Amino acid sequence: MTQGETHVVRLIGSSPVPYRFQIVGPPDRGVLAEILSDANGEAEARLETGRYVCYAENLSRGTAETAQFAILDGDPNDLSVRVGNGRRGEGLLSQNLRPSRATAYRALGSLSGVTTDDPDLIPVISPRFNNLRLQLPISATLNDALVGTPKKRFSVGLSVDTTPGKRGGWRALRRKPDVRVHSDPQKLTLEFNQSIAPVGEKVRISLSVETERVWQIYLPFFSSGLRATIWSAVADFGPELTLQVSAVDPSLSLVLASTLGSYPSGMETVSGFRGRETMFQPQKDPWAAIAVGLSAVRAGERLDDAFATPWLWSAFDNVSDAYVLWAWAIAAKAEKPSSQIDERCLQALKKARKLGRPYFSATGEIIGEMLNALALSSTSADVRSQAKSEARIWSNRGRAKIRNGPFYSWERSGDNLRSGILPSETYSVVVSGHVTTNRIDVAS
Amino acid sequence: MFFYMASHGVANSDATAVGVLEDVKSAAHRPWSQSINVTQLATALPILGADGCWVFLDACQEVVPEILEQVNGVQSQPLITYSVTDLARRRTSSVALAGSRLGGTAWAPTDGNPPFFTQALIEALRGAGVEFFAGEGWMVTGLQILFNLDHIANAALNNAGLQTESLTQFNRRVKLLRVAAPMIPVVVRTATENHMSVAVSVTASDGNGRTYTKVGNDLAWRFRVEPDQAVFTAQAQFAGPHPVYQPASFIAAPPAQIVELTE
Repeated sequence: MTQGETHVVRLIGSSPVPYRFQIVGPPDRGVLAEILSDANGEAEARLETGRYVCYAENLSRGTAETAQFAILDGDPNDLSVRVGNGRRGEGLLSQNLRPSRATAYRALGSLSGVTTDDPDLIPVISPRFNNLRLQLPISATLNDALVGTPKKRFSVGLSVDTTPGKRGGWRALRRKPDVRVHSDPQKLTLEFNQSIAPVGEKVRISLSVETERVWQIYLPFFSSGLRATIWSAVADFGPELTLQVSAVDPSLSLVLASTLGSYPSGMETVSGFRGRETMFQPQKDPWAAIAVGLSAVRAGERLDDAFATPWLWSAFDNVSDAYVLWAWAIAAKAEKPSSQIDERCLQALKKARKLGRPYFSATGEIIGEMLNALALSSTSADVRSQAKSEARIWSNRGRAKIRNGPFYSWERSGDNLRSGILPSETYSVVVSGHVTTNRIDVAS
Repeated sequence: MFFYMASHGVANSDATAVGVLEDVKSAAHRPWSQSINVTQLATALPILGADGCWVFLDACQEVVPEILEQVNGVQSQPLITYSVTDLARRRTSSVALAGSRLGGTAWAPTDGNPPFFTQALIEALRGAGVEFFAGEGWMVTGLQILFNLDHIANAALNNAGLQTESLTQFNRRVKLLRVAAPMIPVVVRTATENHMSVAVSVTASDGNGRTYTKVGNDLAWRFRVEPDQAVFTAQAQFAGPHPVYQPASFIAAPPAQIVELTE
């Protein structure tokens, strides 16, 4: 490596979401910098002339890319480096994050002679199960079933749960939601600076694309802001939209990414991270506080005492994640296993289940792990039996879900919303239009 | 602790990954119970107290309607049982990876070699999946194994379709083993695939005396370089005036380099 003048290098992630960049120099120098980007996936580093490897972690998806770049003598003082693997066809395939391919699965089922009309029996198909045509013996009927429509109608809607914890309360918002929508031909961005519903009422975003099932995510209204990005992508089934939710605050994004997997050397070493304690304000922002709790669980750290006191969370009784962390806190504080501890954990998990799906994907995994432990090894036969029953309910509920990065997303089982139009009594449509190959046209 | 299983695989009714054993379907009442739920195993292994747990499943995750119809899924016998208290005291997590995606398939070559995922894993463990740590040298890490095995398969095996899926939460910075002298796989292709086979010469040179030259008639030229961050320039020469390909440069850095020459 040539030692030389310092350059200001602007690192640009491949998506406009927060990134963690790790810059590695030549072997004799090791890791030179670990930087948190801004909300749009950009960060600045001061580097000398030389060759570098950059690991870029997309904090919204939990995926990592590796890139190399060189700064040469004579390069301008300000440089931009676009990070991305740049593989052939990558942009088309990996963008397709939609949870399932129900049409493909039905075609597959009919080919094998097994048919099912029960929507709950249709499993999750991989989000990258889009090279199906290459994997199957193609028959004329199957091929017809898989041919995509070149132009599809879509709608994005917001709904609020007016009867939290009970069925049938989802309605359109009572007033126009405070959301900023930006659109360009490749993507739509929805920005929420504050909660758009009263405390205690859940809000979900729904994406309906013609011929596809409706895709939904609960929106955690972080006090530092929330962003939903809808991208156009191309799949074997025609034009496609994918939905990604991210926190606007890069530090909170890093905490959210740590719920997918821990950083053994800690997050405090990342330049620009403002510290987890600044986010733990359960009265003001329960979702960020829960993200901090999940991060601690994943790192094998002690959970904050606030999670051992359920009254603190009763103000946000619609957030089932808090009750899962409460169950974890009960187990973590116990000195030794006992049937009383098992019973208390089970009751907290039952309460969480009754409150509906969780906001965070890590919560969904922790529920599964805890119920499995209770079902297999509790000393109480009653707890074992009840835990088995709870686990079954969770796995049935989980068939249409998939991790949307740190957030929990799922598809609606009903087929009545496959027109790309969302009914106005249940959904406040914030944007709609048509999607064609690699282009989104918004209806004015 | 290192666990590896290559077999046929299915997706359980709760979307966990299950590797089936030889005597599957031998018990009438529980036809799928002769199997190992690898996702559950990966969750439970750290409870035993190992510093690092590495779990690999080279198998499909086929969706079988019969399993979905079973009330409790495959019902494989758990290899490790643990209480919620043990679970909450867990301090580490596994690096657990499957060579397929949920609902997808894992593939093997027809030449009798191991399946592609296993070959890519061996290539990563031999030295492609490394990061450099001051004072320790080149180490195979969770980050490279979890996120870059498809890259490694592309460059080392000319297999651009490897799909992997993490079975548990990630463990990014965990280190598995030290590699004294790692070598990084490189693949060079031409934008029109068969132009590679008619090129008179294809070379990669670092301008400092090291030059690699293509031998053989493959459509993708594969070789290995040291990860010393040297800048190599790859170029193809043809007998006639056409086609004309531009040289392309790459930096010799892990985990793998995929170079495409364009006209």
